[in-house]
Amino acid sequence: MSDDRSDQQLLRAHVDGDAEAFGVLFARHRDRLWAVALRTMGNPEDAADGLQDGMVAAFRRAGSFRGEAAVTTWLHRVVVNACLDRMRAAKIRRLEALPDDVEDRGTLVATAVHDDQPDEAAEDSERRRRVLAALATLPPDQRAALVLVDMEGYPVAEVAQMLGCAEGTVKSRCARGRTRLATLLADLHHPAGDPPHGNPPPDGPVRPTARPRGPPAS
Amino acid sequence: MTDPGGLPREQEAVRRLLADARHDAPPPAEVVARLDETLASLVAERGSEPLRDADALTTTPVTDLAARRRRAVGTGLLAAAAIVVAGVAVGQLVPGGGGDSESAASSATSSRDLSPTDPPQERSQADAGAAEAGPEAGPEAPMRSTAPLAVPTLSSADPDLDEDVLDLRTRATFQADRLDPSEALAGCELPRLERGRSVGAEVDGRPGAVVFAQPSGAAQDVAVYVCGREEPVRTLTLPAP
Repeated sequence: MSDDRSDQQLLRAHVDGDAEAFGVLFARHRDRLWAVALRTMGNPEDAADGLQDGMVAAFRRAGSFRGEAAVTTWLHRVVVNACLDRMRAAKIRRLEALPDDVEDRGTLVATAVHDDQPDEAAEDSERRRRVLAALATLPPDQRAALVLVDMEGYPVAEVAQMLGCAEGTVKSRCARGRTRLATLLADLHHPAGDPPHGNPPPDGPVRPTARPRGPPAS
Repeated sequence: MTDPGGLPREQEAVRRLLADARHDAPPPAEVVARLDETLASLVAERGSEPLRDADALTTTPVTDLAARRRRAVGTGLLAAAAIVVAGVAVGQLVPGGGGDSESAASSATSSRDLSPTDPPQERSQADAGAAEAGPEAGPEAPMRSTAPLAVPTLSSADPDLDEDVLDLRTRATFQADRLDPSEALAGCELPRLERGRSVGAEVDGRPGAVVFAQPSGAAQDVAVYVCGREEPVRTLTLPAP
C-alpha cells in the first residue's frame, strides 16, 4: 500500500496528529538508514539500538523540523547522531564490535589475503571483511563521514548537514579516515607485483652489515 | 560527492573499497519487528494529539528502549522523570573554554532522548567560524528557548557515575551552545576553578555542578561539586574526548 504524500507532507501530517504518517515516512527510508546505522556501528545489535534511538527522537522531535533541508537528510542526521551518541556513551571499543557479516573473529586488520581462496566470491568476501574490520578501528566521526560519503555516496554538502558541521570538516574527516585505512589495507589496493612494504623476499643472501675485518688495503 | 579525480591514488583506492563494502540489504525481520513495536508504543503514547516540541522534553522513554540500556537507572531515573522543565545552568567558567567543544559539558542524563537529534561534536574545529550556520541553519531547527532542559540528576555514590558523566559530556557538546551562559550556575557558589567547563546538576539531591577540566593527554579530570562546598564530592578521570 503506497502513500503518495511527499516526505515533507508526511512529516507535517505526523506533527498535526496523523497516527500513521510517521510510520509511512520511516518505512520509506528505513533500509538506507539501517545501512548507515549498521556500517557506522559495526554490528547489527548496536545498529538496531542506534536506529531505534534515532526513530524515537525523530518521532518526538518532528515538530522542530523547519524544512531547511530534505526530510531524508534530517532523518539521517537524527539516526547518525543517535549512533554516535550511543557509541560514545557506551564507550564501545573499536575492535569489540565486528561487522555483521564477519564470522571469523580472528585477526582482522593485519591478516593478509588468503592465498588458498582462489574463488572470486571468497576473495570478495574476504576483502569486504577486511574493509569493514578496518573501518571499525576508526574514530566514530571519521567512520560516520566515510560511511555517508564513500559508502552511501551522499554529496559532501549534504553530509555536512547530516553531521552538523562544515563541508571542510567532512572532507577532513574523510581524508584522515581514508589515509588510515590506506595503511591498514595497503595490500588490498596496491597492484600485484608492487609490494608497498614489509619484509624483503626470503630468498637471497644476507648482506653483511659490518665491513670485513682485515688489514687496510695498501 | 567527492571528486574522485581530485583524490590521491591511495585515497581513491580506499574510496572504491568502501563503496564495494556498502550494505544494501534491508534490516533483518527481527529489527523491523522491534522498530514497529516501538513505533506502536510511541503512537499509543501520543494518541492523536498534535506534536509539540515540548513533547520531547517531557515524555518518558519507550519502555523497551529503556530496558535495553545497559545500566539500571533505578531511583535516578524516577527522580529524573519527576524533574521536568526545571532549567539548566550551563556555562563555561572560563570564556572560550579553550575552544574545545569536545570537552564541553551540559545537558542531562535524564534527558537522553534529546540528544540523537542534536548536532554532533567537533563543530568547533574547522567550522567554528560557521557558527551562524550551525544548528540553526541545519536541517533541524534547534530547541533554543522552546523549553528549558531537565537538570541532570547525579549521585556521588553511584558506582556508575563515570558513565553518567561521560554521557553528560557528550550531551554537553551538543547543547552547550543553546544555553544561556549568563544563567550558568546561578546561585551556586563554587571554589574558583582553573580552566574547564561546568554543568549545573542536581548532586545528591542538592544543587551542584560537574566541572570538566581541560583534557590532559588521553585523560580528562572531572570533579562533581555540591554548591557551597569547597571540595568536590567525587572526582573522576575520563578518557579525553
